[in-house]
Amino acid sequence: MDLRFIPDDMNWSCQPCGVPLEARKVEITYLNASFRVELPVCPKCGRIMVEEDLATGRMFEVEQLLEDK
Amino acid sequence: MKALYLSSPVREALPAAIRPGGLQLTRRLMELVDVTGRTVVDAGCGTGVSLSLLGEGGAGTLCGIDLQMDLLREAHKRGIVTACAPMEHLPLADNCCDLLLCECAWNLSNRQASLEEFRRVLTPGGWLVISDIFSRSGKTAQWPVSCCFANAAPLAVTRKLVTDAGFSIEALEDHTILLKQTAAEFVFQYGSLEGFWERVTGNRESARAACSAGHATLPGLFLLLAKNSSINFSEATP
Repeated sequence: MDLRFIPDDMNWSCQPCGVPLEARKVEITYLNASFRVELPVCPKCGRIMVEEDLATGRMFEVEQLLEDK
Repeated sequence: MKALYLSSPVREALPAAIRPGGLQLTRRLMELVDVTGRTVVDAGCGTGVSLSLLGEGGAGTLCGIDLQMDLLREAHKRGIVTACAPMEHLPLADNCCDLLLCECAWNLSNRQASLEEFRRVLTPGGWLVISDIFSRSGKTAQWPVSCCFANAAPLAVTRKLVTDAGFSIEALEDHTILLKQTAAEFVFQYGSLEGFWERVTGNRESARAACSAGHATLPGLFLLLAKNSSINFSEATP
């Protein structure tokens, strides 16, 4: 499944590194389940940006599902 | 309304192996059973992708049975011999195969009648492999769409059905994580499980009913390996 969560404006930079974020495939793992998701990533330090809507919406529901809640 | 496995959200996400985990449980079965040279029947073969994998793994004659002509055409393109028939009435001779595969299709059939038919076509000592949905809560619920969840029973019920049909269970594994992972991918894709079910059923009320049924039954995914314990007359006679 092609899971892509890139903001419409990719005008974001990594503050500590001072470089623009790039859209990259990353692996998210939780409770033995792992997902390949495309997210904004700092090419220098590898920090990943997760927007609040994604974290409190889809990711939260996935957590609930994996925890049988 | 189309059955879940034929709905566009499922076919788009799982184009070849139309089930949770894709080919992972087929690969697992190949770890459990040496498929080399075996005559294999796949009851509910869909696109034939499992049989192709078994063929690459050294299996001999391959035969796919399904009710959906569109899917059988895809299996035919893979070079699989196919037949359109219900798994309760397989168009096959007695004792004709030594491995029968039924992946996420058994729950859509009359399970007891299918098991009797599986036993008829399997050689004595032949292997039966079923993967399907079970109810982890032990409860059943009304589902608003035809799907393998609707007929899901607790594992104890499945175990009894299979042994009562004349099979000895050699392995019964819980692979619920594969189902959860697929469901989670649908959440990522459609925003929520309710969003996924709304795409499948076409309306919000049915989507809510599907979510409620899921909460009540806690669907899981099992892999069962059993041996046909019937004995040939010629073998039994001294």
